[in-house]
This record gives sequence, C-alpha cells and structure tokens, in this order.
Amino acid sequence: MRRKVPQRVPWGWSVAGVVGVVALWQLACILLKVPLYLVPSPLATVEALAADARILGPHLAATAWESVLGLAIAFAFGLAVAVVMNASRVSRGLLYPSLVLSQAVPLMAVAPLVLIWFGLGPSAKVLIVAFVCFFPVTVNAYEGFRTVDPLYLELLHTLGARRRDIYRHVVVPATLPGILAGLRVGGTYSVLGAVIGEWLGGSRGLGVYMTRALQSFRTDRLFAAILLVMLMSLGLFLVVDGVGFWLTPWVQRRLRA
Amino acid sequence: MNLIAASHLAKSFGELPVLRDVSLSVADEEIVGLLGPSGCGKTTLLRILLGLESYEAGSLIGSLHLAGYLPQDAVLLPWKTVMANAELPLQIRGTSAPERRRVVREMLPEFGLEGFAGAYPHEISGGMKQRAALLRAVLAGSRILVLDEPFGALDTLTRHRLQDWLNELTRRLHRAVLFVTHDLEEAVVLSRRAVILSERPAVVLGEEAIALTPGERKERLSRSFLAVRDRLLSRLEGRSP
Repeated sequence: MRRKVPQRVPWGWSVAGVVGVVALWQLACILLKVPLYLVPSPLATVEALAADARILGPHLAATAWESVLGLAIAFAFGLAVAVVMNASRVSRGLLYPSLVLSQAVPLMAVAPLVLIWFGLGPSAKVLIVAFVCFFPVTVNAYEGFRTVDPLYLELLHTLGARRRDIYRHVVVPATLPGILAGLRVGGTYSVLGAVIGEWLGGSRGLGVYMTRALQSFRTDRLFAAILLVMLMSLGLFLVVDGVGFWLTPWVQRRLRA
Repeated sequence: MNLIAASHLAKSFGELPVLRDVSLSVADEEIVGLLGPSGCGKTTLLRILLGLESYEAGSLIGSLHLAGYLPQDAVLLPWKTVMANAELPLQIRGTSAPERRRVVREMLPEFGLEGFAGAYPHEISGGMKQRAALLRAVLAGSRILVLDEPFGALDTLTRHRLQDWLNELTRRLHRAVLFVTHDLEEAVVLSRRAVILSERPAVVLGEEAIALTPGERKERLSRSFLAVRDRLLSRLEGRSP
C-alpha cells in the first residue's frame, strides 16, 4: 500500500471557502431583509469598521499586545513545565493531574476574580491569556517529549551526549512539529482569552469596545470588532505557521518531494 | 590488548532467557564477527556491551560506553542533513563548526557521499544511509566500531558492494570492529575472527579464525571462500567442522 504523503492544501480553495461563506451571508441578509441591529451584513460590518477605524486602532493594539504577551508567557512557562514533567515519573505524577484539572476550571467564573486580584489594567488580561494558552502548549510539548523514538536517545548516549545535547539534537527537533501545533491552538485561544478579560472590565481592548457597542445596540460595530478578532487570530496562526515553516526545513523538503 | 572482555554474560527479559552464557573479547584493531541466527540475542549482547542494557550474571571488563555505534537501520536523525548527522559526534565533543565540517567534507568521498552533504536522510538511498551512519560511527573516534547488522536491510547487490567496500575501509582505519550478522557471507568477507552463537538463549558455539587474503574475501564463489563458509555453517548447526 502506498503511504499517504501529507500534502499542502492549495491556497485557492481556502480563500474560496471563506469568500463563499461571506457571500452566502450577504445574500441571506439581503433576501431575508434582516434588520441591522439583529445581524449586520458583511458590507455593513466593513462599513462600521472603516467608520470607526481611528477608535478601533488603540483597542486593537491593546488586545494584540495582551494576546502576544500572554501567549509568550504560556509558551515559556509551558515548555519549562513540560521539561520538568519529562524529567521523571514523579514530577509527571505530581504535575499532570493538576494541569488537566486546571482546564476544567470555568474561565468565565474565575476571570472576574482575576480582575479583582490584578486590577482592570492589562496585566490581568495577560494572565488570563497565559492561563488559557498554557494547556495546549504544555500538553503538546510534553506528549512530544514523551514519544521521542528511544533509538535516537540511545544513539546520543553512545556518543557521550549530555542532557543538554540530547534536548538540542533530538528532543527539541523531534517535538518541534508538536510544539508548533500547540502554539497554533494557543494562538487562536489567546485572542479569545484577551477579549474575555476585557469584556469583564477595563478601558482598552476590543472586548471593551464590544461591550460598548452592544450596550448601544450597534451590532455592526460589534461585528466589526469580531472581524478584527478573527483577523488577529488568523494573523497569529499564520505567524506561527511561518515560523514553523522556517524552523522545520526537513518537513518542508518532504512535503515538496 | 583487549578493548573489551565479557565473560559468562547472562540476560533475560522477564521470563524469557536471551543470553545464557556468552564470553567474548575484542582486541585492538581486531575485526570480530558475531554470527548467529535471527533473534538469538545478538543485538541484546551488543546493547549490553554498549551500556544500553543491564545484565544479570557474568562480568564485563572495559566498556564500549563511548563507541562508534552503527545501529540496525542506521538511525540517522531525520531533521539533520547528511553533514549534520555525520558531524554530530564532533559537535558533542565540542569541535568548532568549521573544523568539524572540514573533517566531514574530507571523508565524504570515501564514503560515497560526495555532493550529498546537504541531503536529508529521506532523500538518499538505503545504502547511502548506512554509509552516512557508518561515517558518523567512525567520527565518534573510539578505538572500536560496533555495527549491528550493518547491511541487513539492503538488496543483495548493494550488500555485496558495501561488504567489499567496508572490508577495504577497515584495513585503512586501524580500528577494532565488532559486528553482528546472521549472514554467513558477510561473516566471511569481513571478520578475521568469527564467534558463532546458538539460538536463543545464546551460548557461544565456537570460534573460527578466518585467514583469507583480501582478494579471496571478494571471491564469494571461490573454493577457499566456500570452505570457510561451510565451516561456519557447520558450527552454526552445532556440528564440529
């Protein structure tokens, strides 16, 4: 049987899919005569975005900054925890259950507390983002570490490699695809985490803008902000993808072959 | 002088005895073939000698803890190019990048890898993978090379070529070689001394010194070659030759 080689998805289809959905949505708004305050059409959304662009700019920057910083913290901390869990069975036993349970914490219930502890400024939002992104990053990295082919590890042992060499030459490259997958998932969560934090209180960020838009029944503005959130998630996704592309030339060479 | 001497090693995996009583020594610059049927514990024996596996009885003098090891199936790191795989032992020892690249580049032609320094393992043939892994083993710089069925997974023609090539190479390297094989011909072509192991649980059935000339080792159908091959086969079948 021929092994199925993973192939790149052609760009055109991805674009066509999104364009198709947007076109259907516009068409539905026109045909069903949906009022603006209930569901704004894509065109109305873009118009609101353009009209409010100068106000949205700083909100966007705040959310972006919180997302990226929180993701970076989750990444650094998550990798460290994964390395510690990988070090021994005891450390795994100590940490893994808490890690899994932490994901069962209903974020919407805890986030207000975080704001009470850390104030209405950006630090509380960054913490919420880090908390949300921490799990996918850690679990993907740890599962990657754990499933490294022992043949590679043994080979390194016969060459007199130290732990540092083993991480550098085997563990990190072997798990890089998994780590990047975790980061991609984390990247999409991160913007959501920031928006939830802002939603609950603060003076800046797309979440703040959304609550204001909603209170004044400006659904078109709400949707404009949602559009920005989506674009930001997509941007983060593409950045992680690009970094991954650059970091894993051996995978790319196989895909191209 | 013996680089390693194992006496009366025994090992089992749970209830399954793998090695019953194996003694073996390799002297400096000696080329020793370990010949035994598939699944008789040859690889386990090598792994014990390499310090990758524990043993339950017997003793081990000298250790191959740092050896030029060629595992079965090459085990090249898929994220590293041929160059980066080959230079790995030097890199771990702290050799500077320009120096280790110079050393590898100098040796690539001899290993038939000229022009493939930048290729990834999945881009080269099985024979080239084995040679690249062997180059890495040689650059590990130990007095002994440990090869686990170096050419077992290759087609007959490629295997013959690589056996002849390795035979030439070992004469120039001045290193000891301990290799494992279940292939009678490979044992004849390469080893100066063959140690024959029984089926699992392995015991040493006997030893044969192989005093063929380099020319004779290439003539797989010559009378002298076949005579040695027959002697090894009778040992393997538990008869005295």
